[in-house]
Amino acid sequence: MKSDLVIIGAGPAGLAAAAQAYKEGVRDILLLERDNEPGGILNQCIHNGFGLHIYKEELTGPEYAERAFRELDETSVRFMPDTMVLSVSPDRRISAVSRTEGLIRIEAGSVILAMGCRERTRGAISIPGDRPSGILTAGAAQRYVNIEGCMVGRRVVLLGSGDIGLIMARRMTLEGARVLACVELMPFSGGLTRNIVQCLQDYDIPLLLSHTITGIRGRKRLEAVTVSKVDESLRPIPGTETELDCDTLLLSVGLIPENELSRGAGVELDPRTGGPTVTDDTQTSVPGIFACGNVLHVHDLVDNVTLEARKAGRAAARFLFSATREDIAETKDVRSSKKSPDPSARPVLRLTSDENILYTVPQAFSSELSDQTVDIYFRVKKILRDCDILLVDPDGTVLRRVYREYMTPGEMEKLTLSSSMLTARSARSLTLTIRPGEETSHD
Amino acid sequence: MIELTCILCPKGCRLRVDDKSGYRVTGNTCPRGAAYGREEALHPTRTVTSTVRILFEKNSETATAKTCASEGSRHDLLAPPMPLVSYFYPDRPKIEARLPVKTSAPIAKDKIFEVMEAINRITVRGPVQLGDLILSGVAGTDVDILATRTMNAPDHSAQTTALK
Amino acid sequence: MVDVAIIGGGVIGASVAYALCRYDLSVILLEKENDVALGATRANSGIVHAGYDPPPGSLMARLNVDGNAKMPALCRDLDVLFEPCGSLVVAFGPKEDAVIRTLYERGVKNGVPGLSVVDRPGVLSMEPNLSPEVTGALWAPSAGIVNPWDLCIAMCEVFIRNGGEVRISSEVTQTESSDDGWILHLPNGRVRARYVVNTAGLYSDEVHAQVSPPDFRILPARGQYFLLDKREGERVHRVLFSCPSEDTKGVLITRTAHGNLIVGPTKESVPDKEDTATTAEGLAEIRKKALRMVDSIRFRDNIANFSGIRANTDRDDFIIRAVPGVNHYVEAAGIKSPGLASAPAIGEYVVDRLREIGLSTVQKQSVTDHPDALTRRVVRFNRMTDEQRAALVVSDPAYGRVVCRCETVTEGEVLDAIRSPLPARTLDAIKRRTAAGLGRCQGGFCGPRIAALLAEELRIPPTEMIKDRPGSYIFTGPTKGGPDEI
Repeated sequence: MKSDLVIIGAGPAGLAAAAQAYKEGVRDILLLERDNEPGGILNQCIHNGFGLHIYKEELTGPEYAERAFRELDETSVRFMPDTMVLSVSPDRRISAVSRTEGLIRIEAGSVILAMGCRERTRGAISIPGDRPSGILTAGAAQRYVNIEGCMVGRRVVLLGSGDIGLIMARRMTLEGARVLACVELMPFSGGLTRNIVQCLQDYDIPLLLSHTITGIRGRKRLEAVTVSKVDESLRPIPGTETELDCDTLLLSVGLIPENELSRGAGVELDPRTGGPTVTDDTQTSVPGIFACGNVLHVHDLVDNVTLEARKAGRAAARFLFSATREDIAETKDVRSSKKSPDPSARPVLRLTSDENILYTVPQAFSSELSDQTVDIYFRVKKILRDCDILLVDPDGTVLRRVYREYMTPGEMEKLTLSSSMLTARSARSLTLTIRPGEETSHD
Repeated sequence: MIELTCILCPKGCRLRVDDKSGYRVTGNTCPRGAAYGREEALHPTRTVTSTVRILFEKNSETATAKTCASEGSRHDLLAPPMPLVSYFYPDRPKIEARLPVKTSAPIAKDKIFEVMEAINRITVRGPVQLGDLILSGVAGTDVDILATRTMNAPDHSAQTTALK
Repeated sequence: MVDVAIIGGGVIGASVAYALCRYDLSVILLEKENDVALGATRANSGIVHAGYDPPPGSLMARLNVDGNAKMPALCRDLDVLFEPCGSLVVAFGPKEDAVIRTLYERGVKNGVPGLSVVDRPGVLSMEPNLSPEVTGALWAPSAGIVNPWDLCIAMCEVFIRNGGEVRISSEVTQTESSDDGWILHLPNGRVRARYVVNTAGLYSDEVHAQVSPPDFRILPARGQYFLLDKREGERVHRVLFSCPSEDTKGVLITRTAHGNLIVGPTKESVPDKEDTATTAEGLAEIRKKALRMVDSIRFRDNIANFSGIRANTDRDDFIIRAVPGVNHYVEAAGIKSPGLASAPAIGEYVVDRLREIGLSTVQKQSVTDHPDALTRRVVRFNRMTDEQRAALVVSDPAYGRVVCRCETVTEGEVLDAIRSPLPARTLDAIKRRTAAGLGRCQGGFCGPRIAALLAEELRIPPTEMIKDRPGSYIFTGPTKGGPDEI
């Protein structure tokens, strides 16, 4: 089976990428989804707060998903649910399986990776103690409560103040559970202020900053957790332990882009994001393979996922149209002779960053900037006040300076540049850096 | 004195609203914060989202042709997996699932639990369409409860395949 | 009245059951938990030791080397994940180099095949990620890794297929002698048996005490582990042991049969045979020791921590014997490390002891007629080629639905586990049989899917579903307070 464009994952990223690629003229699009309906994680995010940028109104997750799916109405995009992709090769051969179609092999002209992310588990943070039932990630609990209609517990402690955790604290409360506390390792919350207020404060759920869970008791079902205060280097302080009796521990301790397929395709990954290294057009290190949404880096707003996915859809279309059929066939032949892609074939402008910045996406700019503007998304490592964001040349020339009064790791930052500014550079790299602010340089 | 956290931007300013002297706001660093503080102190409102029971006939049609190559609308594909809750009542002639819903507008914050009680009493029959009216005038307000997704009968083909 | 009752369904009890099921005998295996493989078999390193550790002349030495030799064929017959990857005991400095020489000599005396001492360049070329401070290593090519759950379950399944019975949730609370053998008292009834075999692992001393004054004691020893993402599994190619010394306990680093990296264990004596908790100190200790050997291990890719309890004793050797002064009673007790490696030999060794005390063993006609009677095959989708997968899904579409994305386990495999001769009844039982839920997301994705399959197959409401032991419930009830009046 052949397809011009194969999109893996029909969450908000995959749906928006498919709609955009269709708009750009691609007709042979295959959208593969492992679940039995489109929407991805949005189906279980029944709370509101989505879509203010894209749809100009406040939607719930399922509403956002359905709108995104309806954008495929009247298109020729083929949607295949219940289909698990097993592998993607560097020459874009995809193997997938489904109950109805059996084993499927697809030769794709272009691939968009949109597999999303997964949650970090208890193991990732090595919480010591017993191993009873009743310990689950906030997202798993969200699916059980909202889609499966099953309550996962009655007395709940939440570890981590990420947004999913906060949302679940409210959900569990509204469904009749008692949420005893939200325990956060850092001295600040990783969630949106709005969620702190409307999910914790509204229900008098205490937020214990600079605390963590150091013990788990219960050989069958969870019976209690030990909460300890941590010092500045995040180590538990002996003597500060308190035991909380509970039957459920929800974990909201981070998300990891799901890149097992990308790795198999030979896509270079950025250890800072956990996702592929991409140029401004979302192209990975493997030509013709693009990535968008949470598989690329973890977003806090689905609207940004949609924007990024549209960029991927556009870029994939451009890739398909610039490469004639013969070209595609040719590249495949080259690949089948086991030649690895030559990275120098695509001249790029690298983007590096200083120690205040956790990561940037993209990590580089391609030589052919086809959009008028490019966006740099980044996260800071700690709360920063009154500072300037600077984009600098190797010779120290400041290309752009933007003032920010306040930045927090919990919220992704965006810097928009005009493409002309970049194409004029002869340098091979640029650096994003943060300095104490000069109040005069208001954005 | 009412203490609030401003939610309009990530800074999360600590607002103090003086309910004794005309709801004057302090602690804000921008005019929008003052307006938020005053409103939140006087009339705090929230949108409530939750789920309601939904029932489907057991042998109702599920989407058969799951690969949808044809042009046109494909709302029949919007069917959840067979939810675990249905296994609580295996002998009933209906499949029970959960339908996500929301209030059509924010309601007074102190009405949240009353609204939840009303929501928990609801049972609807599937299928439903996105935006369908589920309950009008919840808990004595003029706010409605609306379906937030289209839901067709859960796909239990997995189970039927398995049993063959 | 059965001919033989086996008390304890760990890998040792299973090996006895497997060894007996070829004979024309009625045999029952009694297990106190709700599944087999839940004691020491549940949580250990999964190493098939080569046999240079036990003192020469010991039963341990003999059964280890013998069991190791039998393991590859046994795993082939039973379709159990096994890899003959070999092991290295790694030395840092002259003192440890000397220990390695001693181990080498001991291994040669024990009859371990292929042993050699490798120098620094040699060991670094075998394991490039080892610390460059390494000075040498003992190379034991006959060592390997096995999935202990699978081995135990497979032997039980074949035992059942050949007429044996495994009775779970059947703790033997009292052993009473009778004219023609024994009466074993269970919570729900009793079993009469002519011969009894005690393979009760951690509880073998207590079971022994039901028939004879205790002459040995189980000293539970806890071992804590890290289990890392498969990505880390590629960091080493063989089982790596740090060199044991008098003042420090060793630690091992290896791939598991499933391809993860396992690092551990601690060795702590704990008073409680069920205390499988992990501790911050224990985990920190392992991490430190492991990083000394391989400094590039990314512990941030850890996916689970767990502990196992080993049945150490106050004796230096395994205790496998017809219990002195007690008729028709054999025990295989205190099977500590290298118990797993020895298991294939222990089963047959126990049968020999039973014969010595009068059990007559005649091969079943059905086994003689069907050489395949003692073998087993399972579907493992993630180990298949695309061609095999394509054919499989055509034969049964349930194999076309992947329910566990991390380990690529299909619905068909989960159903196989639920419908197997030794049916999986809990989420963990499915994990032990199929690896679903064992991977990096730890059941976040497959949990709801497997729960639905269990509910469907077992016809149980979600509230009766358990993760593991009775009481380890997962759901407290439906949302919305249950169904409406319909």
